[in-house]
Amino acid sequence: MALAFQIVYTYLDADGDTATSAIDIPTTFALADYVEFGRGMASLVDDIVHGVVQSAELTVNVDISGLTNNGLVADSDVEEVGAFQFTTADGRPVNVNIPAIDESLVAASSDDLDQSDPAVAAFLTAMTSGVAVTGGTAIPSDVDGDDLTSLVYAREAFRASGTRR
Amino acid sequence: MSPDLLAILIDWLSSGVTRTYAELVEILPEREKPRAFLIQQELKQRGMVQPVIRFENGNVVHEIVPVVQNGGE
Repeated sequence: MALAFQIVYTYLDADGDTATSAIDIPTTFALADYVEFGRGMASLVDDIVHGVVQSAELTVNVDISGLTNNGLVADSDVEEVGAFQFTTADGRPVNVNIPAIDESLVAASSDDLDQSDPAVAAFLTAMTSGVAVTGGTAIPSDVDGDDLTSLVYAREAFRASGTRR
Repeated sequence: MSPDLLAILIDWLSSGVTRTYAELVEILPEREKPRAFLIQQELKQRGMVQPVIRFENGNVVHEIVPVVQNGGE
């Protein structure tokens, strides 16, 4: 089954609430075509809603069927999150919440994730030093594209379930 | 990082051999192990190492590559 890309629109209503909708499109176009499509479709949906079309994002779906440890564990709970804060070299904080965190990764007598665990350390290192890919090293960034460089904290927290981005 | 721990790590890195994260955890004193990533981060910020995450046959490889210092004896 071929993966499709998505344009995700976020809508704001008069109560200040937001909701999203997504439109799938094939993967065969150039990036500029998706931007053109997304802008055009935003105009079309704007004409049929009373709320504000707040944003449009291109979501590139990735085939993850090759994961080998992706099973459901009985005590998993998406309201138990790994709460991470990183910063750029300029000190801009970036928060990342990972739902359904493995509670066994929490250090004893602490809310902090155990950095001696290889899985925790590999994630933290990937976030702040990047991942080797064919074209170089891809380092996660803030919204302006500045590399994340440092960890501020990595700990267990609790969040109401829902969409996290 | 304490001077004693820094001295241990400088000695550990002095061979210039690429190490694994597991090896870093192994040489740390017990009380320092839960903050092993922050120690790796400090070594990186001091310009002593470059951590590397790559994938090999679907497995995660986490290495710590010593940075060769120019001008040393």
